[in-house]
Amino acid sequence: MTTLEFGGMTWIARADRSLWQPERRTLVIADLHLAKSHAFRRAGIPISDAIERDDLTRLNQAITDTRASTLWILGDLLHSPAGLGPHIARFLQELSLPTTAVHVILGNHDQAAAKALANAGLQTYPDPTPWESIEFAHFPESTGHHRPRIAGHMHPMVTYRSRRDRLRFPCFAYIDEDTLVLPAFTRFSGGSDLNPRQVTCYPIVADQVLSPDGTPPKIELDAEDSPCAD
Amino acid sequence: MSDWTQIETWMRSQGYTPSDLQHAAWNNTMAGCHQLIVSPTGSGKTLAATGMMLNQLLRQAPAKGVRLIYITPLRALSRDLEKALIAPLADTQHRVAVRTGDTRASERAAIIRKPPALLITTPESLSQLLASPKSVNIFATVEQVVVDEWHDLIASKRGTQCLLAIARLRRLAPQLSITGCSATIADPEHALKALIPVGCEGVLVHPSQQRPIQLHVLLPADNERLPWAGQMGLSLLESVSAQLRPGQTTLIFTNTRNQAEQWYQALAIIRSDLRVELHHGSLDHSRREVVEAGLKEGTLDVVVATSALDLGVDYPAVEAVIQIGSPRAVSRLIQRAGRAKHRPGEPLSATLVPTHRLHLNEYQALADALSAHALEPVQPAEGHLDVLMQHLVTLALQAPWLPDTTYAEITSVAAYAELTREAFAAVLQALQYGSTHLNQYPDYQRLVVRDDQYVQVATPGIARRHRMSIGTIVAHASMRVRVQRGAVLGEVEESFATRLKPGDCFRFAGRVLQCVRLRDGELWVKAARGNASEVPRWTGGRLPMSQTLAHHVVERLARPRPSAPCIQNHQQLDQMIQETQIVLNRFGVEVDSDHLLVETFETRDGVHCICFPFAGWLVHQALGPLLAYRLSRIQEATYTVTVNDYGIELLSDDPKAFQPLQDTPNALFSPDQMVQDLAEAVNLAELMRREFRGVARIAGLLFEGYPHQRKSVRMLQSSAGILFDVLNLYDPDHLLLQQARRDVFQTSFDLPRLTTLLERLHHTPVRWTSPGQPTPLSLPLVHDRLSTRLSSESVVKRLAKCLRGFDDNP
Repeated sequence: MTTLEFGGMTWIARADRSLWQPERRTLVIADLHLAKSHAFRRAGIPISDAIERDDLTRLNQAITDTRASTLWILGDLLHSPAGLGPHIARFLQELSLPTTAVHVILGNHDQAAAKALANAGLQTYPDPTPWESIEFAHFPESTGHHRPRIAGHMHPMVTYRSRRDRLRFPCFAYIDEDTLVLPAFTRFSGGSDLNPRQVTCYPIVADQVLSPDGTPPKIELDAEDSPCAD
Repeated sequence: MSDWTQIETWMRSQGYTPSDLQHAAWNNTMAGCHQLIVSPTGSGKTLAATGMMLNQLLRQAPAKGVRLIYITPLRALSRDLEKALIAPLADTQHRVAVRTGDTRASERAAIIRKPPALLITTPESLSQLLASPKSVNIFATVEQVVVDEWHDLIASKRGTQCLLAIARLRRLAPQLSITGCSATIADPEHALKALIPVGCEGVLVHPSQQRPIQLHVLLPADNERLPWAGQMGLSLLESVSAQLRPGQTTLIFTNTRNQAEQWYQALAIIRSDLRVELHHGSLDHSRREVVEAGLKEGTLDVVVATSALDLGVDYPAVEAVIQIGSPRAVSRLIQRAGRAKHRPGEPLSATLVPTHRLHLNEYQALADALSAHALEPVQPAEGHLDVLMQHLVTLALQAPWLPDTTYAEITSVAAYAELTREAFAAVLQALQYGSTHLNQYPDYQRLVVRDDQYVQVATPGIARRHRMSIGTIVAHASMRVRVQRGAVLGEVEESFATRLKPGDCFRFAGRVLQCVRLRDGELWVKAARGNASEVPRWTGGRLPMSQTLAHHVVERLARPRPSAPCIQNHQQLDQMIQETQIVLNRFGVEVDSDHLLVETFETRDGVHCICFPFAGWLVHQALGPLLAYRLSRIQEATYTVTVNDYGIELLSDDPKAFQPLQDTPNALFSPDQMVQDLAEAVNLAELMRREFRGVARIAGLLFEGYPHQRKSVRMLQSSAGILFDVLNLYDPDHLLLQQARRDVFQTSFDLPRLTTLLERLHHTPVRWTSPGQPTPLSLPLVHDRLSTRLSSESVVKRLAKCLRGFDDNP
């Protein structure tokens, strides 16, 4: 975990690929891509079902850890409209946390399913949607960019190179001073490569979020606000 | 005695005389025998393989169905073959057709509708044809299958695919005979056995006499100008240039694309009077075809080429062949020399250009091996599971199949003779359920077993995608290089392209280019002026020295003696080698096959320990890390490993680092625990990850998309790396991971050779020397630093190192 300053608020970037705002008790994730492995299996490509279960377990753990009152999903909750019904059902079942309100920004993979999501009782929002002093969006660069924006869609990955080595990690990235992009929450995804010399990146390396200089950050929080150990 | 009047009459009308080799091959085909014709290029192999069928066709009226299938690995060659086979049939109604990846849809349909008598195709296209239900009818009439360039296919997945396709053809047309064509190889019996069905007999057809070979070594006026290390060889540029004349087509072979680019550039500058061209595997197709056409017509003076020109095509206009550096294998030299003066009876000839002094000894060794007819043995491929998976789906597209009969069909192929019923069942299970772990893959679909036990493809969507992705050729991740508002020049590796910043200059396709931007997976460039030192490097471009050649090199270094007479200027060569030998002796370098030579010395970099197993860099690439790993278990130290064809350099800061090698050298070379130690020594997961791209592509896990349906495919897009990570995490025993592991041991390490080497070194006494500085033998190693180090440190540590590198190398 590491703290990020953004839009006049302090956020905590978590190694489970979520972003946490303690004062507003709000947890933010992007690009869950439910039913992605299902779509692959239907096409004859063996991708284990376990990966989706693990994604959901990790999300549940994040909610339990933070005791979040609100969960924002910044688009691409679903990967494909195929097999929608069972996956939304399973999703809601897995997230059977009555105290957490789930808000969904509609991403490019979700459009066809907007109605089904609403029918399932999820609150859906357009891209972008203002929130406090900032805005949540799926696309980092869609129109109406009037406030500092937190977005998804890119699946940012950062690549470090030396003459002998090449390493690639998912990351939280400030693609410009007004835009913070979250890593894809699902582990079954590739991503866009960012150059750490050009973009400020917080890589997720072996269960911790490191600073742009590659060092593990020190977090100083009041004991009350401190989330459970990760 | 058969009657060959028709084909002989035609041949005489063209000025050819039928050879004994051709008569022998025709008689074999007539008798329905499987055969392998082993002869150098330019000996009329095509006519030997097809003449019997041509003779028949010249006598008969057209009938339905394909009579002969000619499989060539070279798509570029198919049109030339078509011309060669059509010529004798010009006055008949018989048709010849080509079916390759380039064939238009309308022509493809015509082949199915109205099958030609002679079909020329590639292994991939043949499989594609078999994936159609209609192929059952058009192939039921096949009498003969010809496999060209068998020596090239034999060890590869393409070869395996080809054999599986032939096994299916034999089910459709049980009487067909198989004719293989191969360049000269060491153990033709072996190659024949790998080609023909298990339990069948076959015949070898040899030419009555070998073509002699003549070598000329280009030597500098004085020996001092020949360096002790280096791969480029440009110090002899002027001498090479002096060999080139307008109107006399010369082929210059290099060993890497990088080297080809540099030689091309240099020659183009100093010889503006010549028409110089460049040819290598990363250049765009159209450019290569222009060069090939120019070679054929003799309109070019010089072509700088890589092994992309080793195979097949006949270029009668080529007058001379020049080899830069070492060809690294005896058979490669024969093939390359065979490109010149493609006329039967004339000797093969080549000019050899050393890039460093030890190449002179290598040339002597080459001459020895040639005189002894010692060629590299070929290692037939073992049954690959990824190829089998693809083929089983292909078969189901032709017609639903029964597991029992298909198992019998597959195991009739030599490569799969050892495939057990259980292993076959596991492959089928993986195609039915995703894996042998059935519960992890709900809703999986690919093949389904019907109630009547027949196996068929699950859905039309799967069928469509499979047809689009048949094949086994996997290119490295590459990016097309496109000139702004202009043509595609070719491809560079993605890792090179992504490192470029806009404005960076580099040399490619013989031009200086400036990077404009990366867009849509293409590298956009514009022409630039001036000089650029960057030249793209391609991985996999290096060829290891063969065991056969290495053996003769050791012999030469151990016992200096006069060169074999097939080297024309052997006296001058011997004199120069004598001078080299004096220097080697001064350094105390003593090589022989009864000892393992080990040198140690210290420099600013640390303690160097260099051993010389002479086993080729591929094997050294595995042995180096293995040694370092075993040393580090005894003596805790960090070792950097560098390898080349001659030896392995281990470098360490710790002065005691090599004590264990001195105390118990043979224990370190023990073959026990080799595979386990190797898996620890190298980052096996990382190597498998690299190899997995090919496996995933062949087994149908990576789908690259149809031309006009980008959108629907996006849902299925993924990279091999991600698929590998997911499989490795949740299903580590998956069949395809096993295949990737096998491929790593085969292609990255050459496990069989490594085993033999360790068994030998385990009992070989070590000869220690401490020369105080690098000797001429170790200098190329110290100089090249072509390190293949793989890190076993934690990612956090590696990241810290990467970030430190930012400061050193901004």
